[in-house]
Amino acid sequence: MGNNLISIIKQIRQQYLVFLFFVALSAIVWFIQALRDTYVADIKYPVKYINLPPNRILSHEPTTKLILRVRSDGFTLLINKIKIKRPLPYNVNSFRLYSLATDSTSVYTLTRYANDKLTSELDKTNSKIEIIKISPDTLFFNFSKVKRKKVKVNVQITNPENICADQYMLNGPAYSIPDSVIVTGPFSIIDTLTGIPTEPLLLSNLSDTIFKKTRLVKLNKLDYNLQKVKAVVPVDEFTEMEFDIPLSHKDVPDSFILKTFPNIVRITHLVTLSNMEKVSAEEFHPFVVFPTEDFSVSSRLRVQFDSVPDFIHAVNISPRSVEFLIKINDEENRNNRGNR
Amino acid sequence: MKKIGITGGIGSGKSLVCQIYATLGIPVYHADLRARHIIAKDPRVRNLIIKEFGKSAFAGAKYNSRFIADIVFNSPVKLNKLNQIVHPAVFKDFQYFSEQFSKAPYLLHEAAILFESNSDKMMDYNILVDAPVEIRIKRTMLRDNITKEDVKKRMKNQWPADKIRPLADFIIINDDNELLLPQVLDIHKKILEL
Repeated sequence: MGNNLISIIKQIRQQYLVFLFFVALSAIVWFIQALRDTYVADIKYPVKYINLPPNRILSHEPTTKLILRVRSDGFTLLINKIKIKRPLPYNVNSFRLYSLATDSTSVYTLTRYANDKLTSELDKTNSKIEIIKISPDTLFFNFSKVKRKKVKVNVQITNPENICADQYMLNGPAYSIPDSVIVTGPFSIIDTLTGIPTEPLLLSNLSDTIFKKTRLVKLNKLDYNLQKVKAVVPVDEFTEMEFDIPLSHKDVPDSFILKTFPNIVRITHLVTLSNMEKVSAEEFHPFVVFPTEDFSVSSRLRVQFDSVPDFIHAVNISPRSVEFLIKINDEENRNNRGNR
Repeated sequence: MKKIGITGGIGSGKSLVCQIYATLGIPVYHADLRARHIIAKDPRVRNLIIKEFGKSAFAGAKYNSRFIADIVFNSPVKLNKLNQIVHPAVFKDFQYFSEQFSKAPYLLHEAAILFESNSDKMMDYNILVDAPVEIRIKRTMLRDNITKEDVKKRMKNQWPADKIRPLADFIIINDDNELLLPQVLDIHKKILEL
């Protein structure tokens, strides 16, 4: 009884599998047959804009993908749906462009003009495809005038305060060879561009000047005539120098004499050995300004100094403030009375 | 005419205080500077120094102050000998200076060792310029480019401020916080009224 039941089940299963096989086979045959028919489908294609109007650059790119309504057989459409697509070249300057502004920086074109050209592009890979419609139907282009300019290269250093070994310091700012590059790009960007940075240099424990090839940072929409420059980081041993310099007085009215205590200040600074010869007391002009409000003896005047050459570092002044006395200038007052 | 002695430890800022008094029209006699001048120019003093310290005390005509300093700052006996040679000559020079400025309301006699040399006894009043020891050391190191140990060695030859304070008639604090001018003007006014 039991054996009979098992053989019946086996027989049914076998028949069922045979049935399924033929169903699948007929579906495949049907599918292949169906793919031979002609269909219409929308396919998204990446697009690359080429041949822009002369001396113009796209400041704002329109859509990077076009939806093409195409007609072709099922096989071709299926392959186009699933394959990785190369961008279609869209030859901007070969179509009629309509201006939106007087300076022709904003233009539009109708994509239907591109039907034939894009079809021929598609034909290079697919022989039986026809473009019926392109979406969007209009492409808007915002152009910018192209400008060229020589722009200084700025050598970037990561952590510039800590790159030198003990007793060494930067002997002037880092620079590049050549010191500038020719940059081409949109007028609006080039016009305000002041420098092209290098990729930051990671340096440490320097005890001598270094020369290092370094890549320029690629800024959006800009092209350079050079991609790499030689960065120079000047390093030299330093020493401390000091000068005792008389304080000068500024804005003292003729009728007063300003006396400061002390009247000499000590200026200490760091300088590299190669620049030592260039430094003299004349480089420093410490001064105090005549007090305009507080004439009391309970205050001090802050010692200031004009800018110093950039090869002088860590300038320190002592004392930072001085006490002062204001005396009446008797001689000046006598002269004034005499003139009256 | 009143004679006012002014002193202070090394790095106390007595020169700056004297500069303020000079601006107020008070003649200032710098005893240490004059002493150096006398040593260089007075043949009698020069001979006595050579006799005491040897020919190395002078390099040609120039006083070898470093050589002498090394000796006297390490030997109180030798320092005393030097003072005995120099101080009478300086005192005579000060008398001459006083006569020259007899019309001034008063004059200042600045000396690093005013009390130590008993010069204070010849003054009508004495001023001490005082500053904390650490500040004095720092100032001297910066000013003379010398080590802390060298400053301390020099300090040993001066009386500590604690010893001088009770002897001084006026004290000026020069600790970089308190302003000097109000103190100087106040003392100036008091001296004129005395």
